[in-house]
Amino acid sequence: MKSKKQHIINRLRKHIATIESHTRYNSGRTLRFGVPAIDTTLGGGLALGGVHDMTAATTGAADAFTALITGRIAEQANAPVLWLERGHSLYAPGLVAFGLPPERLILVSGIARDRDLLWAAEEALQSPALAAVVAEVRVAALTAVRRLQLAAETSGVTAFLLRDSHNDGAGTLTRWRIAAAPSHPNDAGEPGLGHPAWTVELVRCRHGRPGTWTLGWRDGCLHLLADGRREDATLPRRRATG
Amino acid sequence: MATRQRPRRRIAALYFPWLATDRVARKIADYRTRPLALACKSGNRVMVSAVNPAAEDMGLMPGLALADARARVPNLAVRPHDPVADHALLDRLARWAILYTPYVAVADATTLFLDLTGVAHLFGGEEALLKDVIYRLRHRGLTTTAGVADTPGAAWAVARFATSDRNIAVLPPFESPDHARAALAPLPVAGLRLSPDITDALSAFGLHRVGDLYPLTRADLTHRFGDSLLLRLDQATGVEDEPLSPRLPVPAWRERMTFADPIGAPEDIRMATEKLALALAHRLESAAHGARRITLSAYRCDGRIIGVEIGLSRPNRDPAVWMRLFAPKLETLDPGFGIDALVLAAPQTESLALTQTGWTNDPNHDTGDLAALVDRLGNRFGFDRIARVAPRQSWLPERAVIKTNPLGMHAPAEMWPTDRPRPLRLLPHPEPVTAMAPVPDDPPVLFHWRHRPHRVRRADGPERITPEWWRRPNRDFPFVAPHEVRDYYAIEDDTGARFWLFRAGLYRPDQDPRWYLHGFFG
Repeated sequence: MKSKKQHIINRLRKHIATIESHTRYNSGRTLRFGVPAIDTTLGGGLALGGVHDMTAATTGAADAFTALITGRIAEQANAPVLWLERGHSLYAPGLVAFGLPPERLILVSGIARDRDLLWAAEEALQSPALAAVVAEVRVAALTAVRRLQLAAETSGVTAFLLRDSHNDGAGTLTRWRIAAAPSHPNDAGEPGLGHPAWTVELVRCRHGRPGTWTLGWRDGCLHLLADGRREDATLPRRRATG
Repeated sequence: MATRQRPRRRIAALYFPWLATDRVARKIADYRTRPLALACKSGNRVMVSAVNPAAEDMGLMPGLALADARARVPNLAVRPHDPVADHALLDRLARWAILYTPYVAVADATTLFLDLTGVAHLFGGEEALLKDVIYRLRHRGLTTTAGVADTPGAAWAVARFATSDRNIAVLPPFESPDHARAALAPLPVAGLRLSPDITDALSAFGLHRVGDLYPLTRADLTHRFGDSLLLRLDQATGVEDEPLSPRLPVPAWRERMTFADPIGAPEDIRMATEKLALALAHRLESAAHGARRITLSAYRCDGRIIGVEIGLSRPNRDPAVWMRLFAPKLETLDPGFGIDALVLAAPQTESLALTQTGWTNDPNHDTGDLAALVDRLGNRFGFDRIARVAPRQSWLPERAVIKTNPLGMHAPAEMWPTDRPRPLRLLPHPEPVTAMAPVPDDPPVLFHWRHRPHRVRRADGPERITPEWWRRPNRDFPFVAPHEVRDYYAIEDDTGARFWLFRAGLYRPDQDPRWYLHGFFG
């Protein structure tokens, strides 16, 4: 009897998820960060086949974080990442260190207008030959993001809107804010730069809870350096984002 | 006499006797009827270089001093002569004439050659074709005379000297060299495209017509007037072959559609393009070729030619794909008052093996899908914007990356060295910063970028990159002198943000070091 009830509840949950059109329930494909604190918060990992918002609090930080996520998606899908660039500054030799080698990167440079970027992103999201699409969009209206989300759900390609300023991230599955964090000295205590570190803030997330973590990048893996996650009681945006 | 059997050619010459003045009068209608002279400076004198018919009627001719011309014709309008614009106009006319035949050549400053071999019947015969040409050019304010003959030389001559009142002269095909000689005999010797001094010398001997030359022996003519006279005569009669060099390479893959009434509605243009695309794709298929570049030229009834072009990242002969790429561009095509003709050409093709299509009806198999995406993006933004990147063997950071074909999938053979810090973002133009580096060759302790101070917490460096002396200095990178080294430092400020700074040149105590921000680390 209990299992039957459970079965009905599960079915209803699935049904609701379909109505909400949430990829995590549709495809079930997620990308694990390898950091349990984040993966559990996201309910298994970053949902693929959707639109995510990456906001940079410091120049370069969001680029690196996006590069390492897309690099891993590309590796799993064995397909390239299309990076739609506003200017001409993305530098491939630096991306290699974050696991995005040049053979997995297709660069579209010098697209200055948001309208063109969104058009290109939508075209690219319709192509299942890609693993992920990164678009350096400045402003994206909710309608435009919804269009991208629908295209991403259909093709299973994951999209990242890479921004450098404050925005509300409406319509995206998750919204992240990434700032550089002071690096720790390396193990030998040598002077000079340590391994890169970021303060990663999950600002909003459908079906998940926001949080803040300090992550380090070492030997091709993410490490949790500090868990600054806020407790449930202090989550003012929960209602608005759920 | 002709040793080589070659298909008979029919060449038309279009002669624009008043090209320079017509061009000026097109803008100012008053100059059509009023005497007009174009003047240019020759040494210290201002000379008349072209006159219009009204001025010629009053006795003016090119070569006169402008002051004399003004004295003779008080109400003479004078404009500066612009031979470059004349040439540009003739070039535009040559482009326009491709409407009639793909094979158009510019003969001299006032004449075009059109190879009409095998095309005249499409327009109802040679005379009808030329009538159409002259009619359309008259609407554009240009006086034209036209001649057709078997050889360019003969056409040139009859276009100038033998036209009827309708400005057309058609020499029937030459049966034999003797026939050709007889046909050319009544024409003046100036019709042989000779230099003015030879023409003058001939008339000094009383040789005014081409026929006057026939009784003389070839040896005598060569002896007195040089090789060129006989060469021109032989070219005109067809004894000597005269190849024409077309203005544009004739595209082998070309489909043309003319309209009885000019079209202008977007859906009409789209449908016509679609028909042309089907025909072109069919021909490409039978030759096992695919197009890499396709141009659509629209001949508007006001004489302008407008065009759009699509590129394909790999050879393709699917008209549906072409139309999808053309669709956004057709919207930008301004038909003006209507389009007379559309020409779809594939100037760049590559061989493409025949494949069975339509079995699965799935246009997206293997990498074709990526190619379709690259095509869509490339046709909107330009194919040079889309690239894969590959390492290039250079230590200079701005040279270490080379862009390659976006559809090449394989991993590059060499890789950038991983033991040196390289930024994620490299500024194409390094930004100057003011840095405080009290110890020479030590990293700075503080730097200001965009008016904000950054206190340096950690730093790596210097990494000295010396210029590539075996290369010419890079003009796009004027931040360091060609002989200067750069000392790069990877720097972390107190918030954790990381920068790539360099000092241009060696440290010198007597001058302030120049510091630049070149990139950002992740």
